[in-house]
Amino acid sequence: MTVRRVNGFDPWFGPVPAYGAPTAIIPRTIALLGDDTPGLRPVFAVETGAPVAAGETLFVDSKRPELRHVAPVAGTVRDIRRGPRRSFDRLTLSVEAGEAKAFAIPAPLERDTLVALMIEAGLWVGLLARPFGHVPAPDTQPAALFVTAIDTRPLAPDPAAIIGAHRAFFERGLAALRLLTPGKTYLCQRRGAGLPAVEGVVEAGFSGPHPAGLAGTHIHYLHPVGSGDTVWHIAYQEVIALGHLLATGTIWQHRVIGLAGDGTLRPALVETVPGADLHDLFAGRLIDGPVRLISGSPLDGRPTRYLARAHHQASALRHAPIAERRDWLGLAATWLARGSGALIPNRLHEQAAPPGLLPIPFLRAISVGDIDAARRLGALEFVEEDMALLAHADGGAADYGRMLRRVLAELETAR
Amino acid sequence: MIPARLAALATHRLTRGQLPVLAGLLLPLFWMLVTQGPAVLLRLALIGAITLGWQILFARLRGQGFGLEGIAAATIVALLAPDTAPAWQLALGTSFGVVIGLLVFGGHGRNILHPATVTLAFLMFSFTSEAYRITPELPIWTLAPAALLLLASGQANWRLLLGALIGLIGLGWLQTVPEALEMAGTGLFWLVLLFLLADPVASAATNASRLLHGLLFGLLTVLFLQTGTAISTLVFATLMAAIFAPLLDAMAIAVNARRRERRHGR
Repeated sequence: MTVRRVNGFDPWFGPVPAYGAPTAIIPRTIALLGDDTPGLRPVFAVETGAPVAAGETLFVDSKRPELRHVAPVAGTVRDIRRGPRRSFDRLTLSVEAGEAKAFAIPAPLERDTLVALMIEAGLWVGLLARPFGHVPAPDTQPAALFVTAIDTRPLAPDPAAIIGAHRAFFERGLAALRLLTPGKTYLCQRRGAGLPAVEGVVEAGFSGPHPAGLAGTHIHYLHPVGSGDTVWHIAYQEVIALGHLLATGTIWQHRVIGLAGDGTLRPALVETVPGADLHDLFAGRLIDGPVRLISGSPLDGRPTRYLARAHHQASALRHAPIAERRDWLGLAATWLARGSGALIPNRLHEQAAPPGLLPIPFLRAISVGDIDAARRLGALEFVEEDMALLAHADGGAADYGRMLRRVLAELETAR
Repeated sequence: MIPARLAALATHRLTRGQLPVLAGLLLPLFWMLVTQGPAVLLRLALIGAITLGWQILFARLRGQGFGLEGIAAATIVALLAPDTAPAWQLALGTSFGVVIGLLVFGGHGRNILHPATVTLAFLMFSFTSEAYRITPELPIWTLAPAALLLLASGQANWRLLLGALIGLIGLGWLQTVPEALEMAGTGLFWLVLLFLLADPVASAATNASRLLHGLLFGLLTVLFLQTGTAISTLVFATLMAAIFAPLLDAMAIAVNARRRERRHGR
């Protein structure tokens, strides 16, 4: 196994949490979020008040049938909420004891049958394609498939420990995923993680601080994509879920996530349900005083009440002091640090940049919307999460992820 | 790589603004005050007031915010301008420098030249008085805190400093210009190097072009030194090198884009 050392830096959000064995928490409500699949136009298969079994279809995109979402647990549909411009905000379920839908597992497993099964069981939306970072179309073939089994986000739990507890499912899922691509399947892990070796899967080791664990970094080193090829990537817990489906015929109704941050009493690893209510997860674990709950890491998570599909951690962070009550020292610091709001280059930008990127010219290009320069500098290699560390290094005032998405949207329409 | 606990300090807003610059200028200012008397403070007050006036005017007209970069530039000009300079010349030079060098581009972070460089070049180019060619005496140790602060806060890139030293000492040795080697030991050289050449906004924007930018400055300094005085040499070498910085950036970007195309096109 070749190991690549990645440059970067670990942003400080408190000491590295010591997670123990996971404790089980079943939340009272869960939700499926529209933000998990941007641009989704759902057609609902259920109505408010209807009981659903685990694995039963809840909604499908009106144009792309592969964007199918199923109930992660049995329960009753409580609420379907719309966002701005008739977009889909979230579907809330109350968790109740109930049946799990049984899926017929095709044997022998081939690409077509695997794809159909993954779509039917709502697992297809766990795949993401580069460039652009959307859920891929099932009739396309990726040049390579990346399994992300390393997480370098601040306060993230160690994937190796979680995979170790579900080893058989992980191996089964990984073996099946090889069918999706005619090219190589890469298992990207931390150096010395000791993940199970599966025949035909190429192991790739990475070491160093964030962004060593991002799919964009792995793709950059192993199979760079630009205007030509497309590669897909999938997170390790989605692989476990696929293995569980293939082994038992029912969907995996669990996710293992880390709860940490300076707003918690102590970090905890919990085995819970996808889309769990963060209020239920953090109940009894928070400090006295105002905190905010974030699905995902403090670096690239988003403030929401429910756990997002792609996140393996949730953070509780103390609120910053309220502005009106700031002391004279804070006011003086604000006055000394003010500026024109333009990008001021710093050595930290080079530290925080994803590999191969010239950060200052790139950030200038995306902040003024210079599509051509941004493409030349590698915009197609990145998505929002690759920009999170740069935005943090810059003080967090500029949302480089959103600027990049605007550039990507224009590049996509120009294709 | 940065140790995790230091990351909080490195990303703190106070290390990113003009505070390290102003703190680094304190000791040279104090030295000037002790050796030359309070005239330097009068110059600073005049230049600072004019700079601030223009900044407020542009803030009103264009709604663009401004920070303490104007005060920092004014301090550098006040340190390097001669005692005998008439007030009207300083006012004219400062106005030109701060408007053409900084504000017309949209403020700090969008300019391509340091306003103090533009002011000093304007004064030396426009007025024939010998006073502008007299080199201010500044011991090298007065710049030690500035070097520490600017390098530690990541504002001055070491590649620029290294490139400048290699260019200066290398060509100085090849062409046997003893003044070049002497210059590397003066406080004036380090003041220009740290604050004007290695200014994060007015210098090259990629690591490769930063080294080249520094190198170009060093070579130009040796060439100009053979005909001019120390201060005019340094100011015009800084100006020329900064004008060529976007070209060096474009070269670095072209190399990066070429490498990316090769990696993708397989």
